[in-house]
Amino acid sequence: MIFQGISAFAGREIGTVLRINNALKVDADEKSHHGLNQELDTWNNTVAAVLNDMEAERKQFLKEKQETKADIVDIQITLLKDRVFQDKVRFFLDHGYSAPASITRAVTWEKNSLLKVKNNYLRERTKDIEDMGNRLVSWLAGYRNVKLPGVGGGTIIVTEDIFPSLLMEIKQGSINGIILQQGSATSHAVILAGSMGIPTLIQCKAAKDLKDGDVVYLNATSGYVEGPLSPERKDSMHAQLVFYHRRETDLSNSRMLPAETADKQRIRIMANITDVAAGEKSLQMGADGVGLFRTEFFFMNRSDLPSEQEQFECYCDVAGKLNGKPLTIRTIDIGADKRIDSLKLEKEQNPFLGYRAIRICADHEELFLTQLRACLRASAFGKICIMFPMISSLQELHMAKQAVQKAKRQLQMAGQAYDENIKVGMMVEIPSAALMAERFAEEVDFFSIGSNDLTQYTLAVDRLNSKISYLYDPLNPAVLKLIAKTIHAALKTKIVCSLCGEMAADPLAIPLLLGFGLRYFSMNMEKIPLTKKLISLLNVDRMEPLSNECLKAEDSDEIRKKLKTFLGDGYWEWIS
Amino acid sequence: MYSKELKIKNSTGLHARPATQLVHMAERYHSKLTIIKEETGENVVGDIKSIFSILSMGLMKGSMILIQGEGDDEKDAVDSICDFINSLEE
Repeated sequence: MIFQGISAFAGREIGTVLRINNALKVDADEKSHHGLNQELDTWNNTVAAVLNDMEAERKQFLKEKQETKADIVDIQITLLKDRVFQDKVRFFLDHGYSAPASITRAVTWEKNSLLKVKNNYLRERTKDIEDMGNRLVSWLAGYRNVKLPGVGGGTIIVTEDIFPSLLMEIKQGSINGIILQQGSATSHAVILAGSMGIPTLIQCKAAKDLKDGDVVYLNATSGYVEGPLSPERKDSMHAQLVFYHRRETDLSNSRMLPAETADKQRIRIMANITDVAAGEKSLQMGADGVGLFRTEFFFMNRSDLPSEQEQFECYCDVAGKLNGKPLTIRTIDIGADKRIDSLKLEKEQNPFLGYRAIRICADHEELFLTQLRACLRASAFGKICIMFPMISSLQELHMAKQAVQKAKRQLQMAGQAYDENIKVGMMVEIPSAALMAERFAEEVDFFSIGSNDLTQYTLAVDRLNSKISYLYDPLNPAVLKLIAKTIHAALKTKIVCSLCGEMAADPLAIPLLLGFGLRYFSMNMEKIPLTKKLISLLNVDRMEPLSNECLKAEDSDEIRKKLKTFLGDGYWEWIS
Repeated sequence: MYSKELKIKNSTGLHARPATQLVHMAERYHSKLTIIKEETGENVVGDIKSIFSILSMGLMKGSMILIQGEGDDEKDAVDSICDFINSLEE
């Protein structure tokens, strides 16, 4: 049986299921049999004892330099010491409830008030409150040590959701994986699992059918678990696992080498990033720079617009960590599907064809100029490139370029430094831009093909609609023709052309794109090591005729067939 | 009474870790310390010495807040709390 879930931390392991129940069941309606004074004593002693335990735990973690664990315990200590919480417990004690019932009621009360908050990250903190409550009632029930029974080499924990305190007791390397039937990638427990390098699968509802002692194969890389395994199946999966682990080590070891094809063509592999921290991380994954910095994050989840200074500092920060490698900043790509609070955008019938990205910038000049000035100022401190999204006509490109000129003049007047030769480019993601690529190429320093949107606009397929997802296919020959046309126009005009959609890391598309003449690929950083390896196995000379032949194909099935026969086993053994 | 207005600038807002540090900091002062957030005309008030109180205000990036102190060390307390919130990064 295969059970699907969502990957929270990648990795593949075989292990034995250990099902755990986190929380003790407490009857929240239980009334006190001992009278208020005795309940108050019990409560005060419990708080003192649990606080004592937690302080000791925190000191131990600090001594072992496990700061993440120490921080999480500290948060729970603060929650327990909290007057609001303690008053709430006393309130229920005063009303005649037993100590465990009062604790449970106070926890539920505080949890519910936090669930009203609109911020998902804060809502996740309810798990810490429950964890703290569970520590208290466990202590009351006589559990002095919540050590997990039965945890040993090869255990895979299966549970509904997990408390951070439980994971804190686990020694690095003593469990093989975690499968949560619920869970969230931003909960403290899951963050902790990631920092301990434990493959973790979340939202795997069907895992409730797994039983203690089942032997399972957890593939948190692709997001599923298989089990229970027969002894034969276990042996064969074990052999595969050895192969996977060797392959991962190999990829990790070679990720810092420059990307080069088998016939020594230098290829640049860049990263797509959405936040500041990812810039530095992308270099560690072997990126040659950032090919797409999505700046929408800056404008979302806040009630005001970010200032020029704030944006400038952020762009400088990322560029500074790239050691002189390029940072391609895409100006905001917001619209009715990616709404922001500070711009009151109306709901639209057809947001992907609506008021968005450069179209919004065209009539919010100050919003656009603010971002452009921030980019320009950052160019005095690092290698910045500016990129416009959603360009559909030359008029739009002219408007955007004039705005850059205006921003430059404003900075000159203010005596602010910037790179006079900053590279300005555009996304090619609308068929009209691809069809006019030769004309556009004369006006920009670089292209970046947005293959996700280009596919949806060429085929008139909403890529978020699962009913028609079978039609969404970047290998459709019509899409490939537009991509090839764009790359050829860039080569002819001698400007840089990259591709930053999902396709850039698709093992089937990579040989085609190389054959069309693409030399810059931009992708999620996790995909970089494998893409570098695949490129090293390919010969550009042999890809060119193959790619041309694929352009003549009737449909993508024919193209897939051609590619699969052409690419040998040596290529495929790196995938799956 | 002494108060100061400021804007939350870090991207994750006043989440668990900074809120914990904030409580630890507030506990060092005698003054009564409150956060006030204006929300659709109605003020939401929170006690800086209580983490539950801070978390349930749901303070995020861009929120305008007023830090208010009442007591013998109010100025010190409010100033250092504002400095701390301004210094938050991630």
